[in-house]
Amino acid sequence: MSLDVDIRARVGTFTLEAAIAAAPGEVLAVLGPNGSGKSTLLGAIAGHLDHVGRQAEVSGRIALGDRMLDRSVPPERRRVGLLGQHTTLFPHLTALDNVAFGPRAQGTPRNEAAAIARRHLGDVGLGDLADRRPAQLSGGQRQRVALARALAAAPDALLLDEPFAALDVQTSAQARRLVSELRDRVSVPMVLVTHDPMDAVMLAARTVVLQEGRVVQEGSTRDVLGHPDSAFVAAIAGVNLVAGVAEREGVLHAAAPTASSLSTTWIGRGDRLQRGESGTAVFSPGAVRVHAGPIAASEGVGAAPNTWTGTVAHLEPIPGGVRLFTVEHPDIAVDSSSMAAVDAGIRPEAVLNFSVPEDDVSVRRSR
Amino acid sequence: MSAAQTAAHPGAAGSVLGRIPSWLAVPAALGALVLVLPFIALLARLDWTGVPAAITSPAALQALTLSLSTASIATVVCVILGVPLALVIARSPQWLAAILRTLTTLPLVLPPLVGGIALLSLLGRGGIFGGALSAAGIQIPFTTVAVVIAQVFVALPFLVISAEGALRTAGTGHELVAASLGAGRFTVFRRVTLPLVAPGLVAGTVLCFARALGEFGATALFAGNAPGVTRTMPLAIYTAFNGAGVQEDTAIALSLLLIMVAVAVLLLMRGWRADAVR
Repeated sequence: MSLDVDIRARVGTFTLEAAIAAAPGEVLAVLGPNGSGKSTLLGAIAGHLDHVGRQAEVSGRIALGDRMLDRSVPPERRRVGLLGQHTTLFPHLTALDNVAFGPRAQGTPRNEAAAIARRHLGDVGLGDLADRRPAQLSGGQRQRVALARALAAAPDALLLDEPFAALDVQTSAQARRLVSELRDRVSVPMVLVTHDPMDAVMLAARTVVLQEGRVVQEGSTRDVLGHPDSAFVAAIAGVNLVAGVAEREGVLHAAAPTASSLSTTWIGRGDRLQRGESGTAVFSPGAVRVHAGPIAASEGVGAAPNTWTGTVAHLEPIPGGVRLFTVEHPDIAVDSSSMAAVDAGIRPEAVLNFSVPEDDVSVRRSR
Repeated sequence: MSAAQTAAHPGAAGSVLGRIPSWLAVPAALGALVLVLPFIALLARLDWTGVPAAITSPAALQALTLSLSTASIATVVCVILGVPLALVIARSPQWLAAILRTLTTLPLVLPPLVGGIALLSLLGRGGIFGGALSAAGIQIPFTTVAVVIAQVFVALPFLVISAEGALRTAGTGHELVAASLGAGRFTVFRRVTLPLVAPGLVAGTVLCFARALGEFGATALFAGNAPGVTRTMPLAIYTAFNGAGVQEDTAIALSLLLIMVAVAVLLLMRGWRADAVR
């Protein structure tokens, strides 16, 4: 059963217009900054957009298999499971009763519901903690109970709203592994809203980027994170994004970002831009090479593609080296190994030259 | 951890009061005295030899029985009406909730005497519904029913305010998840909403019962002071106190009885909350 959504939703002054689809057993990652409409999208699918005195209008279509989830279908009849950042386990029920809640609510007899719950608790490795109350469980255990609870209700689709955000690094890694096993075992479409590119990398073959209520990019996770179209995704994917217009075939020209800096030009693999077409160049901070400077612009640096000159504005430690930003190009991060940093004389206010190999730059036509 | 942080924890080195300005202890102590001294004075003035006779007299037991039964019925009515009202307020849009909350709080801030007059204006002989009711052969004022109505009127706000606070604190997250698991509205209410707010609801119910038990002003005006019918403990105390001089000791003894009942109720609530779901 696949999930196919093409909606327009209005909540207050905010409008979301989005079309997404997820196949059975597929995880679709939805990336986007706060206020981009991720929660509105999930709320519309789950059917609780207009709760608590909020006015919401949803039009368009939400299809789950051959069922249409229009306004007349209340949340309890949608068979859409929720797993949020906060586990919202029922504090007055044991782990087992939490998991059995769905089957019980759907009319399964008590003993049978308990058996189903026991099986799902076992699936998440918590069979021996069935009698614990949520308050007696760790954060990771609670999230696993919440996952078991969502699955025990036999949903036709699963919505995951930043489910790992509240967990520590190690616990969230375990939880991710659990969800990836689940993806392979349970054949339901899953929509995973997240801030963390790691979630998309590990779980989702496809990724959609939402911004201001619109889908601004969609495609394979590899493409979206490898060559983001937006500063937001570039930032969370940890890559540099430079936008510009082709000044001649294959050469992207980016305007000077500040009054004190020079414009830059970029060549790379990927799309071959025609003159006048706008596009973006993407490269990783680690691909940038740092040279002791300065070399005068007349000698070609700054004019040659993929090179620029900058004054070190600030430095941040990274594993094995430093990350630096320059006054002239504040949006471009440059990573350097400790050894290379010493060789190039990297320190605040040092004037340095930078270059990126053509093969490490991805150039793409803007949509 | 710095020394300042350590001191902030009660029981750590330094004062048990942590980092409260020490001179605040003076008004705090005065406040406590204002609350406690009158009771101490009452106990001091008590003629202990007369207490057993006073509180086991038929009149006292009659008043106590009437008080406990009317307050219990009033509390049940308050729960049945108040929980849904609290739910509506908690889930209303902000502007509507503000209006409903203000209306609910009104009986709380008005003198109960005003409530008694208001109830008479509604259900009394010359009241809005009074004519229709007496035509149907129903008389409400000066009956036990009137006692219960007066108690509901003054006690309901306590329950609604506590329950509404608990409901708003609990939020709707659990309810949404419960719905996503396939639970219909009533199942969500019964198996999720009510258990989640149970501690607040119990506290509200106890307060409500205590308020109903102590109700005097509205009862006196609306229900009168007929022994066995409308003379609850507070009215019995008032009657004894205003009686022919010698009865004052009886009034004090009856007050002691009422205090004991109230303390028992509060202790019962504490006991329940100690092992409540947190």
